[in-house]
Amino acid sequence: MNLKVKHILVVDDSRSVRVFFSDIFSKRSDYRAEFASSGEEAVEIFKNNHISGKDRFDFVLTDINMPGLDGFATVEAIKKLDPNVKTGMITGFNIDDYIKMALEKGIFNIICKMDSPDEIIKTIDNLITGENIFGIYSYLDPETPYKTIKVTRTDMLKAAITEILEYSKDYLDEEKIYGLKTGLVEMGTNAIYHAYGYEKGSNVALKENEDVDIFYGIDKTKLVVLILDRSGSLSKEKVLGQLNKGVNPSPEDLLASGGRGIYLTRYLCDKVVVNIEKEKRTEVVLIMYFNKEYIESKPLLINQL
Amino acid sequence: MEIIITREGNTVTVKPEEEIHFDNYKEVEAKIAEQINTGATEIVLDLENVTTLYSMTLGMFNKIAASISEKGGKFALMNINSDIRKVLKATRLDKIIAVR
Repeated sequence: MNLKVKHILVVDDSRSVRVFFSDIFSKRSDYRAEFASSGEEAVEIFKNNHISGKDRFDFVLTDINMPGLDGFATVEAIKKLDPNVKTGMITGFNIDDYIKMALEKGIFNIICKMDSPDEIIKTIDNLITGENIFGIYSYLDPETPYKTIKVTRTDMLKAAITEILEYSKDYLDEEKIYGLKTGLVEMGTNAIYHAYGYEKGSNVALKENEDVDIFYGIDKTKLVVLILDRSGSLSKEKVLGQLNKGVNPSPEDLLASGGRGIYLTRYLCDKVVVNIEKEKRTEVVLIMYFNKEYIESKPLLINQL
Repeated sequence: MEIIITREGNTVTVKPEEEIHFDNYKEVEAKIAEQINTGATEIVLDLENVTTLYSMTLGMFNKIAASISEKGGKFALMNINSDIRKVLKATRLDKIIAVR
């Protein structure tokens, strides 16, 4: 476990949001936070502390919609000063409205302000520590029991989906079960067919080194399903590009015969996280909360080591 | 997979008797292609037994619509449930796929 105290710069023009984050971080001994009320101020603080070497930041979290430098421009200015600093964005607005801009600017993580403080901290933790994004315990409460299903044939995927839906039905309402079913089919078929170069619509048996594992568990607030393939054939640009085609389809995209799986999954599941280690593994995490509803806005969480 | 075909003139109704899934949707696609190739100018896909639409099914709809439109024909869906309607709306396919 990384016990290093993480130094974080939070940028938000709303005083109440800064107070909210100050309250969250003051309760955590593993975080130190500084605050800026504008993008311009953030850039100054970053120069004076991080660039001068006086007190470097581990992470910069910025609101998107701000007067003057908005979140995208703030990240751009900060990345110009240090391309390696980790950054994330946060908004209370509909994140879909920013997907196109995110694709253009190479932003792959946007957190929802509506998320619970615990979830926000967990997401920031995962973004800072990199490799910790992988594995079901990055999403499920510690020590929660979970199950594993190894899928090596198409019919096993169907059985796995049935098992997970059966397990979930006491916790999720019908609408969420529908969303989960769609997400499991979309992401499960991507893992079993696309990751290893098979064509959908046929029955396939994976070769010995073509693994697909599905992990699932339930903690106090949510169901987490993690689908893992060991091809690592996706890229974060491709995932965000497909999401953008779903959110902002061109006339050609509307007529396309494929590429809607990740968009539909994010649309119907509460939260979707995609983690990629190139050529090694891809994890898609589907999260369904028992009580929370993401009606309009859903986070954008795509990570690549 | 059992698929019921009903023909009235050049209009053919195709009704899968079970869910369209990742391992059987090509059977539906092939059956519809067969109908288009044998002169059907209007294909109606009856989704009474289908509760869930996936991206591959949506892709199949687009392929069928393009194929029949090339021959001057039409493609439509019927008996769709509210979940399917929601997915069609979310993907904007409700603008290009007719629903009866």
